[in-house]
Amino acid sequence: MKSSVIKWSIITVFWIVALNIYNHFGHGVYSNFMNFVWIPSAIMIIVRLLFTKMDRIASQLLVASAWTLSIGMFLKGVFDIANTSNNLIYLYPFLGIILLAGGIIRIPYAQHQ
Amino acid sequence: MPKSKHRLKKILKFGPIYALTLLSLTGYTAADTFLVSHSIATVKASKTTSSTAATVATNATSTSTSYKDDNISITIKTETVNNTKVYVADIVVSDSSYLKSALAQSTYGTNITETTSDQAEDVDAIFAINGDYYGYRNDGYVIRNGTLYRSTAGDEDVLGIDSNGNMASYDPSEYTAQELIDKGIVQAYSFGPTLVENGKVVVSDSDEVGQSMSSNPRTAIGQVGENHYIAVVSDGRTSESEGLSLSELAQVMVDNGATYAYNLDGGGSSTMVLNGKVINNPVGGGAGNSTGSERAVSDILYIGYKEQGS
Repeated sequence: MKSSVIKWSIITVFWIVALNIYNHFGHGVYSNFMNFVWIPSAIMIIVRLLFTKMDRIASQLLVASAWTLSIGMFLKGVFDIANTSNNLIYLYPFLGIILLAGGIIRIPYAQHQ
Repeated sequence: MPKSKHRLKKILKFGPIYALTLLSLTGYTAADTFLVSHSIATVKASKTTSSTAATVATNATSTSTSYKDDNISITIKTETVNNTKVYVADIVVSDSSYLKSALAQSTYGTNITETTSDQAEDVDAIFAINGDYYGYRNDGYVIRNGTLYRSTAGDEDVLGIDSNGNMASYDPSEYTAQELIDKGIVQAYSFGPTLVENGKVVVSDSDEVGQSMSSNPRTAIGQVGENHYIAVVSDGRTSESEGLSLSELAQVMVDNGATYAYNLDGGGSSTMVLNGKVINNPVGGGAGNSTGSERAVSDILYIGYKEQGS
């Protein structure tokens, strides 16, 4: 559990650094998706602290969800800043939420084991 | 193999497989948005050619900042506004059909680009500015020289230029692209916002393009009166020129007599060309945004005799 919290803390810092680097070269153009790209990994820290007992399936689903949502938010931020769009971007929240739901459903199962 | 071990192996494989899928999806999405060209239509002969505009004047005189013949008069002056170099082109034409549009590589599609000066050269444009870079987005009406290319509404007001050369803004939630065609609109640009209406600035100090809240290079087109237009391009993002806010740009338009003005794509796209020469200092060269480097864009708005596709 401790190593997971440290890992997700590092990932959260990574996203904060990445968004600041991107914003530095963004000529004053901002995107809220970019600004809040660190949130999914920050939530993973809380999840890891709250649910110390988690089986591998729940863990993998939540990890996949956090990465999917973060990468999707970062990409949407890049598109917003460039003032462009692509319909494929909607796959990220779709996949991310399905994985998140799967992970959440799976957590109690692990607690009972 | 025991059932539980087999299941565990499957679970262990999920991580790397999903990571690879996610990376592939991200790479494909980014490439599809920024790199891959999608050609949708080739520009055909215009539907707006008038018999007057077909005649090329022979007695043209030009300098580095002006052009004049029997039908077209263009004068460019340079102003300094808020530590920013601003280029104001005053354009008077005898027939509104000298005001035309061109698409990069004579093709409508996404990620199909050419620099403003190259596009201007392709159509023998006397004067040109960058357009709305329609190919960078999936929405916003695109009507060029009377042909409807895209009917998906965007969020911003649309600049509509009718067959008499008159400019006005249209709310895409009130008008479909076909309704604009039916109203006689021959050019529609989707970027915005509208800067000036009835001679008054209609953007506030806090209005910006998308999430942008800073000074930038800008491009705008406006109308002074019948067959009389103003095009403004400002430098920006350099130590010599900070750039303009939208309200400052609108004020430049009003100060130069515009009764109507509309903001086009700015930033690295902002380029003004006269007689084949780039007038401003574009910063569209990508890495480092080096001064003088033009960005390749989807489209231009130009003054000239030759029509694309003819």
